[in-house]
Amino acid sequence: MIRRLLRLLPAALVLLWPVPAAAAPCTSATCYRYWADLTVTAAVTPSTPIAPGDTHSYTIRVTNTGWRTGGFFGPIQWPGPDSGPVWVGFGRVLGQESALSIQNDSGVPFSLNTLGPACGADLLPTGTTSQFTVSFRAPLTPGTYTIRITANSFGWTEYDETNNSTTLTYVVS
Amino acid sequence: MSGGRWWRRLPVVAVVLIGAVLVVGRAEAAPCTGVTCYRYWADITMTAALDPPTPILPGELHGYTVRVTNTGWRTGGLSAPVPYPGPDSGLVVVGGFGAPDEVPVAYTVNSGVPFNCRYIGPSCGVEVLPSGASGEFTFIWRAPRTPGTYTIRLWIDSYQWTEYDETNNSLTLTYEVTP
Repeated sequence: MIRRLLRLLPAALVLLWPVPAAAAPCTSATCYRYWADLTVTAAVTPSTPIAPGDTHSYTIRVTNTGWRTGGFFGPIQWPGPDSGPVWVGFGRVLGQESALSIQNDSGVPFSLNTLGPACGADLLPTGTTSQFTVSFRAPLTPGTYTIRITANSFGWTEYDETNNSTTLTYVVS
Repeated sequence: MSGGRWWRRLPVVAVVLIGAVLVVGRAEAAPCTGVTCYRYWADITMTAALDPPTPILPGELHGYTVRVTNTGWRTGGLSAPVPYPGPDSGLVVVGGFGAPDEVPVAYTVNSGVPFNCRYIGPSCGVEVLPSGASGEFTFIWRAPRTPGTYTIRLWIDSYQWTEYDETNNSLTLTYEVTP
């Protein structure tokens, strides 16, 4: 009887040993992954045509929405991790427009780097929004200008890399 | 041999053994050419990727994500060179960033040993990379405003120290700027 029990012992140990299974790739129906996702909205002030060289500003809102993927369900919004560093860039600035200053309105503050120009923050907690306003000197040449504002996730992977930009148009006359 | 004689010869044996150890000690200071003599090296290598991948819009921010690794090597003896825990590196500098009209903006430390970047004479460096360790960072730039194809050659330098392989320290990245 004792010998039979001793033979069963290794099998029992294999059945009771859960650690290797927990380290397996996250593909099972009970395995979830949690993500950060950046989105951005922006508005230009004033919205009416501005004189050449006048000061105008972009009010930008960056949000970190948490997501959960995996398991039996489709992806759903869910508290996720903090973001990594966030850098907001101003694409297609034609060189005639120059960044002047930043004012943080709410949320985690961003800092202005006039080299880019770009605005950066070390992280954005899940479920939070930061709003800030950046003042620019408008171009000296009349015309219609388009600026593309992008929230970049450099060095870390977010849930959706395709929803990070918005485009604004303004007129200098 | 009686027990008494054995004890009388013991001091002589001890002196011979100590002498042998001292001789071996001096042999270790000789040039490392014997089959039991090994040398240990650091070797730095680099991988890099564009973030986002090409193409890029004019004037957008984009990043170069660079990962630098110090792989230890052992040479000598009867075997071919093998990866092996080696010494820490000396000063490591990564350069070659920036196509014409590109502007450095910022950098982020992603993992491992933290690199520091500077914007004038743009480069990123670290004083020591331990054996087997890596450091990853992203150097963020504003892309050129002029559409076209841009190629940069990133290099990594081992300043004032000799590494195992000096020929595996550069790579080329190409990206397109399209409106």
